[in-house]
Amino acid sequence: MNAPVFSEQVLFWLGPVPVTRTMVTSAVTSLLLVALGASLGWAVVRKPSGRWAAAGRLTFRFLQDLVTEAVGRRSPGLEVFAGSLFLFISGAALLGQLPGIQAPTANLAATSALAVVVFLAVPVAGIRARGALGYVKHYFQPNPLLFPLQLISELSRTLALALRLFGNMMSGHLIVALIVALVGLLVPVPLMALDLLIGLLQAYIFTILTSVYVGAAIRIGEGG
Amino acid sequence: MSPSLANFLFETVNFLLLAVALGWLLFKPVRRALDAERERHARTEEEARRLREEAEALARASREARDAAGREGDARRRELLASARQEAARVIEAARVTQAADRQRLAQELSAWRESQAAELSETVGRITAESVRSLLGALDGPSLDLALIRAARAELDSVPAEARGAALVECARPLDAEARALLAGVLGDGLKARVVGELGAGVRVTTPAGQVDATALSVARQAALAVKRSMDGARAGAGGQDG
Repeated sequence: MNAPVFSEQVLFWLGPVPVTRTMVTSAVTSLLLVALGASLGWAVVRKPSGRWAAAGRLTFRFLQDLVTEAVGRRSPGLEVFAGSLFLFISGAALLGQLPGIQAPTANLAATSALAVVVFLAVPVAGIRARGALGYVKHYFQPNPLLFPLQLISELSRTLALALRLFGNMMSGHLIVALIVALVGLLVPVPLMALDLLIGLLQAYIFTILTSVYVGAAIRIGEGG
Repeated sequence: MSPSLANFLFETVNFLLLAVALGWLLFKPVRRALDAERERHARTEEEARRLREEAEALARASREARDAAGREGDARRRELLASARQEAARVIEAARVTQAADRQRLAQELSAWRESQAAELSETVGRITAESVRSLLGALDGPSLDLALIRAARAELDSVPAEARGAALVECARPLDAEARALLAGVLGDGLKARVVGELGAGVRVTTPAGQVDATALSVARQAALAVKRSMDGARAGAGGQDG
């Protein structure tokens, strides 16, 4: 059994840049998602009465409602951002169920990258919505003494995002890999289903939390 | 470059590119399509609402028109009924007037017919009476009748003034015998002249400037006929008074 938890398996090098297994899996996941999204979008526009178009509309409405419920209003940019997160994490969880493939979200560097993107998206959205001064001002409210705590809160929740996703995805894969190594092929199927469910649930949680964080930054100063 | 750092940077760029690609290929067209569909639904709902309002307005107008037509029909029916009643009353009144006029006309015609019949009857009865009297006097014709009539004439001539008797014209049915001439001469004088008029039947008729004394069978018959006629006229007048 060889299940890398914190280490990266380098497949080859492109000059000084290592190409890891997680990078390839992420790229494949992204390409598949882009292909799927393009076909769904094409179907919605070109064949609106077909099943594929219905699947596209359902997916969009699901993500739109998810973000709208978290933010409290329509936010097209956040819909794209959070929806992409959900689709990527879900796609990674699905792809991770294939034999010999590890979900990119089971890698701490990948989940950290997603968490950092969310971390950066929060001030970007806040500044776009309220301006730089208006956004920065909320760190010092209601009392300037709370600024360190606000900063720690932002960092800790980013860290929590990364670690929660990484821990759940990695543990599921690790358990399945252990069961496969110990008892055979068919026995871990229920655990794989559970792992898939956990992956989808984590995608939902990650998306919801992202929407809440970014939505809170957008709604700063609205008095709600 | 460490694999973890490379992985971190790659995942960051990968996700950002994925978000851009999905936003461009999936979210944007689907959002536009759904917005267009929503707008189309809104337009359809607006159109449906407008059509419903139009239908309701039409239904309301139809109800009002039907009610108005019903009211107008009722009014028209009442008006026609009243007109028909007035026309019927007018026709009945005209018929009544016509009937009264006919009745009056018939009554007048009946009265006139009755009058004419009564007059004719009176005439007929008078004529028959005169004929009967004349026949009767004819059956009694003879010297005694002449003499009786002349005596009656003489009695009446006594009331005529004496100066009017001189120019008296004497007409008789047959030539006067001696006794008759003597009776008349006693009143009219001996120079009387008598003219025979056969149609007088019997008796004598004396015409004086003071009047005429007619004691002939013809005169008796006429008097009898006149008396009968007068009697019948009196009776008819009495019957007419009772009818009236």
